[in-house]
Amino acid sequence: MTPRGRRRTGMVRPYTPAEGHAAPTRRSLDLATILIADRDMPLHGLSPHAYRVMEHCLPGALSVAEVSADLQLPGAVTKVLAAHLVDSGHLIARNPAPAAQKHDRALLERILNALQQL
Amino acid sequence: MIEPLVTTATLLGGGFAASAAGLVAQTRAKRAANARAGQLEDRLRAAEHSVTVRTGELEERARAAERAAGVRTGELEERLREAQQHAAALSAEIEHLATVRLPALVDTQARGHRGITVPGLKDEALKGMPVDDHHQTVLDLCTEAIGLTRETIGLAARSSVRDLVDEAQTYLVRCQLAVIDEMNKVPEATAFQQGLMNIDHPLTRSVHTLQRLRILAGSWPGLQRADCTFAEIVESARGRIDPYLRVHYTHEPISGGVWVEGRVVEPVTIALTELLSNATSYSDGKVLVEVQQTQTGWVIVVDDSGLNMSPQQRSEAERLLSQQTVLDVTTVPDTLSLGFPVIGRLMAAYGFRVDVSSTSPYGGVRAVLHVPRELLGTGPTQEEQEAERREARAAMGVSALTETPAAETRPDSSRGLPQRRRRTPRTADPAAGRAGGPAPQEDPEAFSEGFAGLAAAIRDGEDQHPEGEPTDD
Repeated sequence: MTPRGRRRTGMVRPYTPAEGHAAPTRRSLDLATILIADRDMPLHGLSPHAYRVMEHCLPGALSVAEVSADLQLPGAVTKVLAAHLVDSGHLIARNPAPAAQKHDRALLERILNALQQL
Repeated sequence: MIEPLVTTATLLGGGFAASAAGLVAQTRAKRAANARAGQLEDRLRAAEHSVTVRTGELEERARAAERAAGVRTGELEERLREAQQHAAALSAEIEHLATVRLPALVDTQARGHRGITVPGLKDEALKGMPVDDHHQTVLDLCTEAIGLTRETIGLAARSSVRDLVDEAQTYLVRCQLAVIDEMNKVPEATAFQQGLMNIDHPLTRSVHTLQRLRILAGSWPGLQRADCTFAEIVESARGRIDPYLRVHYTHEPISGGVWVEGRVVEPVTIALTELLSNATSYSDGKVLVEVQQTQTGWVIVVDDSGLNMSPQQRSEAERLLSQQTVLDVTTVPDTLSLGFPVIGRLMAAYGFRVDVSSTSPYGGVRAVLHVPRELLGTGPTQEEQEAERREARAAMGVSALTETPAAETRPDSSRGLPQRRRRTPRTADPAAGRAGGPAPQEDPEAFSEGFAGLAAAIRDGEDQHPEGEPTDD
């Protein structure tokens, strides 16, 4: 099963969908960035890989890392594609809230208890 | 007086009588002599006549003999002339063989010149004669000798070419794999990534060069792929030429997802690469690629806006495309015109078709690659795609990030990831699993940061991924 699928990797070289650019047009994209597809944007005229990214994100939202893994594209390439799609308005990029801003009271209490038991 | 008279008369009478008698006798004798003479004359005349007749006969016979001799000589002369003509024709025919027919044969068979036909006999009259047969034997032997020599050299050359190409291709493919591995190691867009991409392109083109060489040497493309979609084939082919940014192919909802059987994926991609290479080298503008459905299968249409081909180029292209024999390394004219022979070989071996006879609406050539329905594939099954995705996610270390709302709403990906969903139930918190991710740069408060890190560490306990290391910037 897997080897059969594996032989598709390398069929499309990374520079092709990235149009030769390794650097995305936006620096803010991260592997953890959540990509949310805008359902109202038309999909025609997109390159095949941009289309696959959109198709992948459309049901909801996915992180850059997941899109990368699912489409078997290097992270850098996914970022270039995603950045273009964010530029064109097809995707909305949302960086996850920094972990420190989401205090979980119950968790903190558990930690406190654990510390106190030390 | 009477007496004298009588005597005289008697005398006279006697004399008369005597003379009369003498006359009679004389007359008689004369008559007899005359008769004799007449007889003699008759005999003489008869003799004369017979001599004349005889002479005439003889003359006649002599003339006949002369005539006969003349006829005979004429015949002999005629035969001599004929023999001389025949000898001259034979000599001319041998000269024709040596100076015209054999050189033409060498030109066509050994030098590979096209458009030359080996001429036939100089003198049509010799057709079917032994000389014709013998000359034909000589020509056949020469053809056979050239063919045998070429075959032997070709076989040896081809097999060594294949071995060398195999080895070189293996190393290049290994390089390509290494490029992807390296790229995956560093997800950030850095000069390193850009460098890898810059290396990858010439690497890919080198592989293509080796592939066209091995195909011309009668081998297979050296790569067996799984089923691929038309979109992947077009994108892959695009990446194998230099000016790939000039090739425009946008996603087509219907055709983009059609699968092509793995066995022919690489051959079709190579053929398409050759067409794109031609299109971009004969035009400066965009080259447009479209995939369309037809009655019997699917076609990949390549349009360029460059110069159209001349009728000669067109017929030459058609000829090269229809050439199904293994090309001889010794007769390849020049590398620029290798594209059509490569396609021709692949067409013959794999059963797809390429046509370059139409004119593009953009002014240049319209090349059409026809993939019959029999060559379509089914693509990987749902399970295979799942396994592939799982493996890729694991390889990328995305496991802790996987839980997202999208993953739940997408039926195709939810089945494969049940455990992960249980572990991180709160979908609004996709990055919670990342220990020391982007948090430090966003949050100035060291206290909170420390707690977040600790929280993650406790929650994930033994957690596995290396991604948490602060690699950013």
